Amino acid sequence: MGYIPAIGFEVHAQLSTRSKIFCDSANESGGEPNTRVCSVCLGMPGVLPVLNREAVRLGMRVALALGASIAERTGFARKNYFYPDLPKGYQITQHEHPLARGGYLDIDVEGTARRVGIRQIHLEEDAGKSLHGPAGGTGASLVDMNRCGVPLVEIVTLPDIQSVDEADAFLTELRRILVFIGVTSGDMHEGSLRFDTNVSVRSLEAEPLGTATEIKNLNSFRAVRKALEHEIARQTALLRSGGEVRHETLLWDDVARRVAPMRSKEVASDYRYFPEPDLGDIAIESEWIEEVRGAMPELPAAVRARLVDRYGLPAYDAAVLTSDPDTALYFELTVLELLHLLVPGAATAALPSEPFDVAVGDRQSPGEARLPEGAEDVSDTARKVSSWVMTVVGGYVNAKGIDVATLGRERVPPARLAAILMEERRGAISESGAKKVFEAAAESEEEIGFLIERLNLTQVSGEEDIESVVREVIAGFPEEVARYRAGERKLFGYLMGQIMRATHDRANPRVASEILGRLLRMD
Amino acid sequence: MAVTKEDVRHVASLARLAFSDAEIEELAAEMSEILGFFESLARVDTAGVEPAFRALRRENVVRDDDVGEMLSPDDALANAPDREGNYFRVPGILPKE
Repeated sequence: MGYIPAIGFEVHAQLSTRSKIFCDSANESGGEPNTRVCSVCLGMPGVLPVLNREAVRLGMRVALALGASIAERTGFARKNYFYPDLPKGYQITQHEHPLARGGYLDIDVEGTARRVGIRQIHLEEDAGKSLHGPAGGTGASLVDMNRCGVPLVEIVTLPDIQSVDEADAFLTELRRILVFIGVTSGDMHEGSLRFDTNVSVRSLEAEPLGTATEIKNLNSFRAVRKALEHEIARQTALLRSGGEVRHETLLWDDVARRVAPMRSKEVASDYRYFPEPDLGDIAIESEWIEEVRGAMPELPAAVRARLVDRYGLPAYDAAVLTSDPDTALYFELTVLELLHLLVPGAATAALPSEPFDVAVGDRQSPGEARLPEGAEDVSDTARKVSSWVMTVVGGYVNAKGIDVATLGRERVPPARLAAILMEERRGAISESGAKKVFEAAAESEEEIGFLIERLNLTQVSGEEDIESVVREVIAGFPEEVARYRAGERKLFGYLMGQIMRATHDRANPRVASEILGRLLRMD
Repeated sequence: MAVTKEDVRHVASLARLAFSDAEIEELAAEMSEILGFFESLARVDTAGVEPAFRALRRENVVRDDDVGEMLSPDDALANAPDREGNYFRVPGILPKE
């Protein structure tokens, strides 16, 4: 008898506001402990929270991105529990009146489309951070309140996910959306994205869902995958042997890579929710929703579709390039710049001059920029740039440990990469020469033309110049030439290598190989 | 509705408060009385009346997303019973398994 899992998620994302959700302390990760705190987020007596309007706006963006209905009235509630990283003794969250309900996210799992329903989307405050175990082995814990009061959006899904691969695809796409619309950094090392999951297993014949368990404390996609695999196997084995799954809350131990039940005392979830008396309700007029909708950044699915439809990229390239908004923007701006360079007399691309200085969520989509009149070979040009961005640019930023935005802001802006590729297209430098120029351009502010000269990379394309070198090589390697003419065709590559060496890699390989072929056929 | 001693113990444990048996008995009586007051309110016919969750009806009280002045770690930790460096130091929270 087969079994099928039903998986749902609660995804918490830290919102990229400047200040915290209910006070004006800075919302920044890292930093010395307890340096980004005030009397409000420390829960001092007599203080009052005031809602950060930007947190609501970012939450509305999430709702719109997922097609959820934003509530006309929304409000906050107290969730009461004791924990040392929660100084007030309660968390301000939303309970009966969440910001938005409904919505969905479509995912693609190896060619199969699946729709994951959203139950609700709400705002809440993050808790502080506890460090367990240090304090000289005394068993004490240390608490840092910098994170306390950081705005979170919580996205609760329906249990629509039916496999670990689907779960992975869902979380990957959800993270991508949240990053593209500029509501969160999505940086999982910093804990800006955290997951709780609920999972049940039922036999294929059974209609109703089985009893679910909850797994908390998942901080990476890998942890989600491991925890789900582990828990689905455990429940399936239990059901096969005639047992019953107990509803319980499990904690994922990322070090031991296993789940452990939480102690019953921690589970006692009597949170005594009640409406937060210190905050008024929020009425959301349709004008506000339209304002947020009007400034909505492009979703990754729309960028992916444009990279395929407008630039003729293979779906694979489009997916890789849209794994983050900086790479997608870098790619598209480079293509647009290069297409403009390729059309003689075309106006300049008129693209934003410092695109990476604009926050992700506020950027103008390059999709609004027109292709130059008379642009040809758009797809070939796009594929060339795509291959460069994925290999040369990607390799460089990985090796240097910088991000694409930094590269595009400080080192090689898209217009500069386009200029390099244009030199290669003109035949002024070879492909390997272009790569050298790129690396040099990333380290220096010199003009591309100047760099090419300084690195002595000017490609020799003149037929006469190259022909004289080819003749020298033919004269210098009579034995190889004779063997080639006797049918040992692979020696062509060897002779080409000699030509490139003699010219210090500066001969235009296409021209050189034509001439070599012609001269070898003669005599 | 009568509040039982068991109810009082449950609420006390949620609030991390410890009471003697005599106090619990006293509290059960007092809390029953308080709930009694509300029961008289519950007799009012509220059909068709929107629920009100707070006395003030102000809505959309929000602030702009600006960073203001924060406390120094010494001020933040001034009332803490114990500290270590700039951390609050508290009794161990995750007992070792």
